[in-house]
Amino acid sequence: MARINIRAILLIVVCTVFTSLGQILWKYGVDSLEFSIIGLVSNVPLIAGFLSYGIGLIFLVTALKYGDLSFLYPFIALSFVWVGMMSYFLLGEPITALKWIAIAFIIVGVSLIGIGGHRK
Amino acid sequence: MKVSILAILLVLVSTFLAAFGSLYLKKGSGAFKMSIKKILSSQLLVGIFLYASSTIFFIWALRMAQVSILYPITSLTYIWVSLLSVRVLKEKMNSYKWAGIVLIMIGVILITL
Repeated sequence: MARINIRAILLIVVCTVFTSLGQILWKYGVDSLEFSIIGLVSNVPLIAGFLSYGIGLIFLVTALKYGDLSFLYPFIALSFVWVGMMSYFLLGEPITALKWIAIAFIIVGVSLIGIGGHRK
Repeated sequence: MKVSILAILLVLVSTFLAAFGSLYLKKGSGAFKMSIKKILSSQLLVGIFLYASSTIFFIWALRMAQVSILYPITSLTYIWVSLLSVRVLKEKMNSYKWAGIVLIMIGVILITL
């Protein structure tokens, strides 16, 4: 089994960054949610989050062109890592020891998928 | 701590919808080029619809139970996707990928507890 599928991995990782951004933005947007046309349209975090998800979707589908679903899909778990880090840097939410352990599990798990994707 | 059975069922349905949604996105990705026209390929639309439905079910479930119970259940989606990939897309699993899935699931459960 030849070279590692860098292109697909890079694409899906970028996807997860955008979906994580979308999640954080929506968390803001939902806090000030108004169910009116003006309220929704002027809800910047909501709109920005929506766009972010949309960009993530484009990267996801493009990644899927170049890699197996069972190989790429687990990388989506990386969004938990990004959200954790973004919450820390942008919202000041502490990363507990348990969270660090969880992040380690996810990163090792994703790495195993990456290695496993090229074996029969 | 009371747990709503309905909430758990809703999340389970949500995981199935997300898994099938990913399947359709994969199937539709072949036709996808960076143009708006291609985005309207029916498989991609089905995939997006299923994903959106999955989110709606999950949000519905969230109204009845806590995130710390429901989020870990969503990790089942990784199993469904692996099984669907083998069955429908004829992809191959191996012990590395399964081990990775298990570790990821543990990580997801821990991070949302």
